[in-house]
Formats: sequence, structure tokens, C-alpha cells
Amino acid sequence: MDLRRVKNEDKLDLCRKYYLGGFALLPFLWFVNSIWFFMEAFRKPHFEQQAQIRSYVIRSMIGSVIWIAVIVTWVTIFQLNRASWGATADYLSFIIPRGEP
Amino acid sequence: MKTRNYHLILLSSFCILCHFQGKAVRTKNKIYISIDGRSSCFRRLNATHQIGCTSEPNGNVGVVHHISTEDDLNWLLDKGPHAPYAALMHSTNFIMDNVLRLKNSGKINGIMVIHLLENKTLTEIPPAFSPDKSCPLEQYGMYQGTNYSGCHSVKWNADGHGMMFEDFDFPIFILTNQSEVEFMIEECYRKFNQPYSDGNPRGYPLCAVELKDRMDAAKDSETCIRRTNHQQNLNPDKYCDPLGDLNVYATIKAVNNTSAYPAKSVIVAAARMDSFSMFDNVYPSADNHVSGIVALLAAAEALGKFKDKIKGSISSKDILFTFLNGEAFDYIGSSRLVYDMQRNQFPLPFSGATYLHPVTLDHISHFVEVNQLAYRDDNKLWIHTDPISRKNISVEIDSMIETLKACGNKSQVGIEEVDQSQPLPPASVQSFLKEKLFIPAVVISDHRREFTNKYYNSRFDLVSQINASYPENVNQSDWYDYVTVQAQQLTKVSTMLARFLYNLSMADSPPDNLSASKKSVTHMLYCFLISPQCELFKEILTADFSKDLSAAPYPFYVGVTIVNNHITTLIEKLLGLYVGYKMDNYTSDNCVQPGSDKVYQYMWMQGPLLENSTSRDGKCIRTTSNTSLAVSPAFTADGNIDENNWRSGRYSAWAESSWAADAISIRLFLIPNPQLEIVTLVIGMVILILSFILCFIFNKKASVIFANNVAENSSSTTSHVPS
Repeated sequence: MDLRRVKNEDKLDLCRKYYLGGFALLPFLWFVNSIWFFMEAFRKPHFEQQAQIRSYVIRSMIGSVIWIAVIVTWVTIFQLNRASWGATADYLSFIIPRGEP
Repeated sequence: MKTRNYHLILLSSFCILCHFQGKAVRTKNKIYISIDGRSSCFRRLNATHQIGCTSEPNGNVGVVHHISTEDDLNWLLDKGPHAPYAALMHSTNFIMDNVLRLKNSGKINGIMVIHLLENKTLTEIPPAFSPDKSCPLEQYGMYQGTNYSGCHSVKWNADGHGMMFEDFDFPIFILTNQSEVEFMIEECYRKFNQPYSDGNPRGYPLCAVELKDRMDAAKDSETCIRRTNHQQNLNPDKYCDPLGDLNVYATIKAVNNTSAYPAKSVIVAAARMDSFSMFDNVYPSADNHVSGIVALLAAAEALGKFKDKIKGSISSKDILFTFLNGEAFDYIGSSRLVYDMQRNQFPLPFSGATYLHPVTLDHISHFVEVNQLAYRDDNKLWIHTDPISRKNISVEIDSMIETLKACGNKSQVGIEEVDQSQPLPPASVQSFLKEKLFIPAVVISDHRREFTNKYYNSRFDLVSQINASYPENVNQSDWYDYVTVQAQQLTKVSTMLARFLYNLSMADSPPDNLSASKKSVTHMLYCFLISPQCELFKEILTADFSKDLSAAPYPFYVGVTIVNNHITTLIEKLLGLYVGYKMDNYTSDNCVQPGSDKVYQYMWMQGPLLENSTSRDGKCIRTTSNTSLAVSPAFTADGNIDENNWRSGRYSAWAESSWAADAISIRLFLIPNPQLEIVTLVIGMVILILSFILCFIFNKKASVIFANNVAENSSSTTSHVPS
């Protein structure tokens, strides 16, 4: 969708939908939101809905960062301990590397 | 004018491309030389360990270093500046000490061993080599936890260094093609890598080898079986398979399940069927265990001629011939047989039909096992017994030994008893005696104390080492019927065995004409050790199967449960022929087992060639010869883990790693100076950046080539915004 052709009230609506959607354990919505509306929130000249869009974008950014931190931590812990966790780790895996303990 | 120039450049560059395309050789083929005469060491796993070899996923690269003397080895370890190396070794220096020194140095990425049996200079047969442990199968034998444990009275396999049970994180190959080996030594090593005579290393380019031998399984058999069985992937694949196959058995009296079968009325005559070596598909097994297999089969043939006499006597004991598989891997076959016997599952019962009477452990009256027989200590065979059973049943054991010695005397076989305090060598009967049974048992073998076989479970347990190969003046076409020294000796041993079994069964001395056939022994040795494409094997199979017989000997390795073992099938048919009845008026179509009578198997054999003809005299054999599972009780029938038996720790848990179709390869190539490599990389990057800049300029100045309006149009229609 080309944001240049969208009316300001629709932009706000879209931004809010993405922000709220992110709470359904969909961090990618927050991530997309924070990038897609970054220009609208911080760079565009002032318009009426900009303050609200900005607050959604900032919250989406915070959410994304928390999620990334959580995922990176988990992946690190899992990869470091996969071999020693044995069966549990195998059951958590979709693809098990060949020839590795 | 300018445009024309561009066209010319384009055209000429296209022509240069055309020129190369005309004789296209894949770049890969210009860089690498593939080595195909090879056999790899691979990974096996038990309940606690992984053993054998693996490479990195894309292979290990090392600079080829030929080690023919101790100095070469020391040069690599002390000086060699171009680590990692790949050592090219000879059979005489591929010994445990050297391999461990190389491994621990961390300077090598793989080992290749020259294995050219026809070439005495490139492959000298070492005085001794056994990759098995010095105390084989101890952990699953009967002496664990007794005074006899740990082989402290006799180190059976004194030359065993346990290389097979070491875990290598680099590949080890044997090379089996002479011209490839010579190429590697001359064109690769001598030309590029051999250090100067003053010990200084050669400079770049160096000849390197990529050794690829990637295994799929890791850690232990529990892990790899679990991973095989819990696939979430859409593309399910295997990590490993349990080792196991089938045991072969036959009874002489063919007692069915509705008849009386008193306790202590069955004599078990057993031999092992398998051995191993470190390398895939190289399992020559001449002494261990073809000599034992052939001797027992020939004895079965001799006794088969008197089966009606034994059947006719009410008081005679039955004789159960068994050939056990997987014994080299912690007694897979015998432990399963005992397990089945304890549960009335051997032979397997059928509902709604008569079948062979199940044999339980109580039925066994005597146990006679033949081990390796070919390298005789003092030119004699030796009787081994168990000192623990002797405390309770010494009378029975003594009487067995006396009878056996008498039979040996009669058959001109020198046979003596070993020191009575000496425990049993590794033998299948240990699986039976382990159950705290008192069965009088003898193990007949060719060694008095330590193994006389210096190549136990190795790639050198060869037919040429046991006097069973043919003199040079004998034509290859006459080999099949040529009676070797070993064949003569084994015939006598078989005669002794047959007479001994007859005596135990009938409690009477056997008729004078009970003797083994020299011809059969000769033929079996040829067929098992030289070539399966022989008349005997053709006779016992159907026409379809005999067409597919391999020219090279079949491997005596138990293999994984999902793959058919040819040796098992052949022994089953041979035993079937020897103890079975030829049925008259049967054709290949009606030679089938009736649904209500499962006592006998019906085997169709295409039979011997008719005289002066290419057609054969086919026959239907009705026989008790059959197979039973030789899969460790620690595994279930579908290859999963049986929790209770697994945890008991009493059963073999060996599995073999899988590998991908392209997981094993060897290729030679030259590696240039690292500086040259960096220069090439930098030039490449410079060209890449230059071409970007060039493109950018072309784009800017596109109006010079193309008409102005076209350039404008194309830029205005380009969209930059994602939607």
C-alpha cells in the first residue's frame, strides 16, 4: 500500500490496528509498524493524527525490542544447551542437525 | 559511431564465450581428481558411546603426506608447517600407537591406508593386526563380576589394540585401487609435497586431499534411534539402524508341538556367523568365522545322512544346529536365542497349525560350539570348558571331553583339553551359561591360550593366511574342485564333529561310514571365500536368485536389521539341503509349505546341471532349516527401543549410523599459496566494485546510446514505493 495515497485518518486507523494486532503474540506486526510508520511519525510535517501515530510507533518499537531480546536469549540458551538437554531438546526441534550430539 | 563500437565489443566478448562453450569441461573436473577405489571407516553406536569415523559436513581437507618410515611420521609431527595434513599410510605403520600420536597431535585431518592385497611391496601383511579389544566381548560375557573377569588369566586377543572402538573425529579410508594409489604417491605427493632431502618443507602449490565421510548419527544409539523415530520433519529420514539379522537353525528329529519332548533331550551344535573389520564391506573372515561355519555345515551334512536312524530311536537326543549372527557385536544372536527360549518363542509357535516343538533352556542337554578352527596351535584343536560349571557338573563335562577325544582319535584330528582352570574364550555359549545354567558345554577352537589368529576381526583374516588358497600352478577354473590343505584338515574336523554329535545323541558309537564329505568342504570354502558364483551356490538357489550371485565374496558382517544378509540365506539353504528330505514328484510350483503344517520349510532348489546339458535337475527339499530373529532384545521388531530390556543393560545395543548417498568421497586437488588466494580475492572484489561504478555511469549516460525519450519513459515508470 502506498501511504502517500492514504488519508491521514486512515493512516492512524491502520497504525492502531497493527499496534493492537501485535498483542496477539504477533511481534512482527509491531516490527513492521515501527518501520512502516516511522516516517509518518517522526519525519513528516505536523498533521493532526501525528502525535497518536507516534505514540503507537514508539510502543511498537518497545514491543519489538523486548521480543527480539526474548527471542535472542532463548535461541542462545537453546543452542548452547541443545546437546546436554538430550531428549527434551530433540522434541523441541523441527530439524535436528546430522552427525552432531 | 559510438554505438557501433559498443556493438563490436559485445559481439567479440560473445564470441570468446562461444569459443569456450565449444569444448565445455566442468570447472569442477578441471580442479579435482576423484579417487574411487576406497572403503571408509564409519560410525557405530552403542548404549553409551559412538565409535568409528566421521568427517565435517563438507569433508576434511589435508595436505597429503606419505608416511612410509618412522622418519616421515616424525617429520609430520615435529616439523610439518602446512597442517592440517592427511596421512597416507601403509599397513605396517597403520598401528594404534601411530594413529593415536597423529590424532593427539591435532595436526591431521584424515588418514588413508594403502590396502592392495595383490601388491606385496605397497601392502605388506603385518605380523599381527586386530582392531578388536584385547579382551573381546567381555562386558556381555558370563565372567563379568566373577574371579575370571577382565581376561586376567588369558588375554585372548593379545594383539588387539581396540582401534575399532576408538572415536575418531576425522575420516579413515583404505585405498584399494593400485593406479590411484600410485598416482597419489607419484603425481601428488612426490611432485608437490615431499620435503627436500634436508628436511625443509616444500613451498606452494601443495597437493591436498578432501576426505568426505559424513555420518548422520551421534552420541549413542538411544539418541539416534529417538531422532529417527520422532520426526517432525515433512521429509522423514534415518539417523541410524540397529545391528541385527537372523539366526539359522535346523533340528534333526523335527519333533512337532503335539509330541513329547522331554527335558535334557536336545544337543545344541552352534557356530558363529559374523565378524567385523573397521572398513565398510571388507570382512574377509576366513578363520573367524568361515572355518567354523564350514566345519559345522559339513558335520550337518554327514549327520543328515543318518537322520532316519536318529529319528527312529526313541531314546536318542535331538540335535539342534544353530548358526548365530551378530555375535561379534556383544552376542546379538545368542542373547536373542536365549531370550526367545525363555519365552517359548523358539522356534516361533503358530496358531491353527502344527509347528516345531519350542525348545526351552531346560531342553538343552549338551552344548557343542565350534569357534575358529583354521590356525591350529601345535597342529591340534583345543577343548575349552567353563571352570564355574565344572564345580557342579564335572562328570558330564569330563565324559563329553572323553568322547570327543575318542572321536578325534578315530578321525585323525589331534584334539586336547586346555587347562581346566582357564575360563571360556569369547563364545556364544556364554550367553546360555550366563543364565546360571548347568549345561555341559564344550567350545572347540584352534587356540590353546591366546588366539592363534593374529588378524582377529580384521581386514587381514584372509583366505591366503589359512592355507586355503591355491598353488600358482593350479588353473583358476580348477580351483573349485582343488582340495587345499585346509579343506583336508577341516574335513577331518567335520567328521570328528559329526561322530561326536552322533555319539552324544545315540549314546552309542557311530557307524564307520559316518564321515564328512571332502568335496563339500572344498566347495564351501571356495564359495564362501573365493567366489559365490559357484556351482554349489547355484544348485541350492532358485534360478532367479542364482543369476544375481556376486562375483566377490559376500561380507561376513551382521549388517543392519533392514538389509538382507546374503550369508544368512546361503547358510539356511545349505543347512536345508544337508538335513532335509528330497521330495519326489514336486515341481517349483507346488513346492510350498502347507498351511496346517509349519514343521518343515519347503525349499525349491534348481539343482545340479544335467550331464552334457545346460538345464538343471531341480528339486524340492523338505527341511526343518529355518531362521529366527537375531535382533538384540534391547530393540523391538520395528527398530525402536524396548525400554525394559534396554535399561537392564544385559543386551547388545549396537546401531550403525546412516549416511547420505553423497556423503563419502575422496578428491585430490592443488592448493595455491595463501597470498595468491588473497590477491585473487582482492582482484575479484576490485572488479566487482569497478563494474558497479561502470554500471552506474552507463545508467547516467544512457542517453548517449538510447534515444532520449525512451530513457525518460523508463525512469518515470519505475516505482520505488512498496505496497
